[in-house]
Amino acid sequence: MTRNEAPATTNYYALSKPSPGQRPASIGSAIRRLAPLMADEKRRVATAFGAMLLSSVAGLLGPAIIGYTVDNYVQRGNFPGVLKWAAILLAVYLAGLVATYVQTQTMGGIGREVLFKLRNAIFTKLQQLPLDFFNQNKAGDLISRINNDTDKLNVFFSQALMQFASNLFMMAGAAIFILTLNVRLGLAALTPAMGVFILTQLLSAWVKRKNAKSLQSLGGMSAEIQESLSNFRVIVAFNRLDYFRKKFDAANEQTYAASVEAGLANNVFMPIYGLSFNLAQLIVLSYGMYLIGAGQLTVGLLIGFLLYVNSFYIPLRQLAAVWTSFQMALAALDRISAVLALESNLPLIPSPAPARPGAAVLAFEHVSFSYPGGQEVLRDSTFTLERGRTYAFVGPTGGGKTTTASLMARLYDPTGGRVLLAGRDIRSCPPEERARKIGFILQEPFLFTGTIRDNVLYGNEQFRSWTTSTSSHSWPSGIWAACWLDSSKGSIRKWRPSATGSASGRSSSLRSCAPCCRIRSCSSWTKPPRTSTR
Amino acid sequence: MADKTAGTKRAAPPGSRLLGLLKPYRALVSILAALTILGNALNLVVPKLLSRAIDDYGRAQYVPGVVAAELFAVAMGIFVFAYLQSVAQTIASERVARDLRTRLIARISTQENAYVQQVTPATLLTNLTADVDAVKMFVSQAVASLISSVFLIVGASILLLSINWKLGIAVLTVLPIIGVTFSVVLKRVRALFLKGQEAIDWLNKVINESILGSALIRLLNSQQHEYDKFLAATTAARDISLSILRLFASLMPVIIFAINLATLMILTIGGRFVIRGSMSLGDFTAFNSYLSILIFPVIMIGFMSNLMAQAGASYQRLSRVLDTPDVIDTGTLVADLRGDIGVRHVSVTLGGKAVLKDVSFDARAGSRTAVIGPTAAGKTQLLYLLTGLLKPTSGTVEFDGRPIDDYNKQRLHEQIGFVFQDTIVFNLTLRENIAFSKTVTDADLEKAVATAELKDFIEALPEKLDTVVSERGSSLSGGQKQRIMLARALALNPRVLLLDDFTARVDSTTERQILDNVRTNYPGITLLSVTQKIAPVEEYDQIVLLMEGEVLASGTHRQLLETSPEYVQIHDSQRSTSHYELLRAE
Repeated sequence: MTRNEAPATTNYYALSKPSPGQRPASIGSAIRRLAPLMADEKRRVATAFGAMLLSSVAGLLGPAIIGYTVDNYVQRGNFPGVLKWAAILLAVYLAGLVATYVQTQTMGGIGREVLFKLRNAIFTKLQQLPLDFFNQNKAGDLISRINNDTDKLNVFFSQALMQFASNLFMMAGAAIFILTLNVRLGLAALTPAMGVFILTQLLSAWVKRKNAKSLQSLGGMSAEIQESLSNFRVIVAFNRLDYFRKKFDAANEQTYAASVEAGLANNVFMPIYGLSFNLAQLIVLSYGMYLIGAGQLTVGLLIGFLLYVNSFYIPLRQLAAVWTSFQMALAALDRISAVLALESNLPLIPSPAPARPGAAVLAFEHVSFSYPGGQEVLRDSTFTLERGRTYAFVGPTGGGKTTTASLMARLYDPTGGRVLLAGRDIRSCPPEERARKIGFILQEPFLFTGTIRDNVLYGNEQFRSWTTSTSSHSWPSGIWAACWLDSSKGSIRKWRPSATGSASGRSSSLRSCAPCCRIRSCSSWTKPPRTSTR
Repeated sequence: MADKTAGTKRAAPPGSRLLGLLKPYRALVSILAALTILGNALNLVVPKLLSRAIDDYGRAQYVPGVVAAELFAVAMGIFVFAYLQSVAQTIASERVARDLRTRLIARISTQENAYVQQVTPATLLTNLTADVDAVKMFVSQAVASLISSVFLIVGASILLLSINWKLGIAVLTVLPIIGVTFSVVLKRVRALFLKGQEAIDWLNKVINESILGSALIRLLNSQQHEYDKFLAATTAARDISLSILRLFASLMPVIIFAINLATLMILTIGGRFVIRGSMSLGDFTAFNSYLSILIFPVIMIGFMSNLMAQAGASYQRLSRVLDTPDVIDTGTLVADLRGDIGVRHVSVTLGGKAVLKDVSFDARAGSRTAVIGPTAAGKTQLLYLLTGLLKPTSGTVEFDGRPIDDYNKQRLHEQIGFVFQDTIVFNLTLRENIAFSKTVTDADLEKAVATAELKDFIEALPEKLDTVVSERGSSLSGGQKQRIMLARALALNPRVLLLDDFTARVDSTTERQILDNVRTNYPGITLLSVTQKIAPVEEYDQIVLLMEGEVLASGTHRQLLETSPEYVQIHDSQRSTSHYELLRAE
């Protein structure tokens, strides 16, 4: 099913339901999903890779040099030789210092760049999605999804990714060393790791499910809080602080239970990894002793082996420490991907006919409309609006007045029939042109954080450059004309001098709806519209 | 420490306050600490077992089964302790988070509406989610790590000094170097964290507004503008994050290098001691392995200090909410209202701007009063005053001749129905939305639904009153939502009904019908309606003309037409409004 054909009657945009067929996350699949995000960073990834290689080699060389120096110089009482090799060791350490710095810097930089891009992608997608999307999802849940989930990714990319990558690297290096020293003992030493790997694969679907559930209940709680706090007035006026607390307590308990489950699932790895380390030591010691007895290994090699087992399993354990944030990041990435996968159901269709100059400015042709999952609001309505005249739509509440206006401005597409703007299907009209031609004052006014000027000029490219001036006298005359048209000039003048530069945050906008409407209407007058709807 | 008074509490650094937070969880934290220390102590045993096995083998005393059994027992012990530790820290951290949220909500729910508006719901939401999360992370990760790190550092240091105190001191000199580097870097990081959080708040605000204002953005096709705003915020967030990274990128290598220098010292100084014969090769090897035990906890402290800095900043923000003093309801009067309203010389100043100036009027019980005025006249504020949602800067509001402050708030709210200007529909069933107050009976509910002319609408719904209405559901029209709001206020069986611009979204026929219903079904109710339209309120007992926060005139419609030129002007302008062509959309 292509997106365009998605029937408007289904709740295509509703996000909260958990998707049933979740794939278990493996390191491989995670890298596959994260890799495209790093596609433009090839050179920096290569630099980071090189630095990581260098710092790992430096890390692995250190013990080898010490062992060599002890065997050949300390035991033979050759102190100048010790000093010589100490100098070499210092050089290795210095190289490691530089490499670690470069590695941290580039890996961290890449992580932040990826996060930056991901945030941009989400935001761009949010801007592309139609109003349906916002109607079908709770604002609080959406906000939590975007904010919390990107934050989880932020934690992963800015803190864990680096450890994650360098530990994987360390482990690979140590594994190679172990296997080259003695294949059979090496394989035996790595067996517990294999067991852990398989166990991780088996558990990760379960862990991911727990994390997804925990994130979801957190989102639900945020939505609850958001709803209650924004409507605090009603709660106070109707004595329902108990309702607020009760609803919150239920959500809080649910979040607690889900988080504990998720936490237990996430923390199960650390002890298992520790156990695998100890078991590896046990295997190496027992099997090693047996091999020594059989004359296939020396005591010295066994000690070396035990050291490299450390170098393999300690990073593995650190990996377990960042595994939590890795799993959370994956769960968050899934939720974000769900948003990114959505497409607008209001595509621009190719225009068969150019706008006809003589045509009615707006016309409805057999338009029907129903909201997703709702009853039919408009049925086969046909009418034309001529240029330069004034029309009013009158009707009882629920009669479809707002819906008609929303269809005129293409906030939705009709489920049947066509809306014509200047004689051409509105769906073929580019959004810029549509916005220029249609001014619309919404029933629910909304002000953005910023000055009154920002809000009046909102969405107006032509006057954008004036927003930097501080005095209201220097406002373009077109704007004053617009304000005067709506008789709000007086009230804006009154706010001077601070007001045109003062913040009109959400909270202060609650004081009165009307000035808010006024400011909005100013902003629609500043772009001389062809059609104005209010 | 936590027993001190509020005054000294404020002066305490965030770190100690964070620890103070753990006091109620003493038992759980002690268990956590005990499990951590036991697990780590067992960890220290493993190298000993390994070296003994090797030594035994050298002396030909190696018994394979016994060593394996010992090692296995220790491994299982470590596993069990580690697992229990993870359970303890999960439960502890989630409890701290849950209880913090409960405390915050308890604190917020004792506050007045003005407080929530002033702090802003968005900030409180951040406090309840992100800030609580940061504190939770501190408990779940930092507490156990810090305990085990300190244990390991102290233990390993003692062992080092006991083997060879001269070399031990030399090696341990790197610890202060590491400490100083940390404190210098972290001081700068902390400042950046605060800035980083601000940037994230800003970013979230832009995202939130783009969600809440989505309809407007689409109408004006201003996606690009939103994107520009977003880009500014997200770039700032990234840049701060990069500055933090730069600090950390220099911190970790320096620390690792300092540890490496210690290794170098062991090799050279220790090597010299061994050559001279003042130290055995076994001790030399032990020095190296104990140093490697030192490394992990030192790095761990580094990471945890990052977490602690964040948690400290978050807890500081939470404390601001938690330390907000109680609002005590001083009103003791529990009385049934007659419904007389008196506003005496009330002035209100909001943000340095006078919203209401010396407003006085009376409304008798059972009368109908309209407050007419242009936008920004202070009409809504007047209604907020009458419900106690807003406090007058000077003057008093009286009910039945007694100041509003004398009344028990709860009892007062039960008798005043307020229909807000903007529709607020909770994500509940219609029944729960309308019978929102607890005192509502089924009969009250039915009467309210009938009065608000919602019966037909509700009957047409598949699940009738049990239909869940969504937050910003498109299924309800503006007028339907408005009527639900009215039904919610009427379901209280109020003595006083306050309508804020009710006429704005309900057509005049329905409106007239509804107001007639109110008169019939709620006899003796005092009605106070704020509106811009004169026509529907011409018959009212009293009309108050409010302009720019001042009462210009008051009286009946007839009186005002004769005495108030402003009123006449508004009246005329409204009569001449429309020469619209009526068009039937069919």
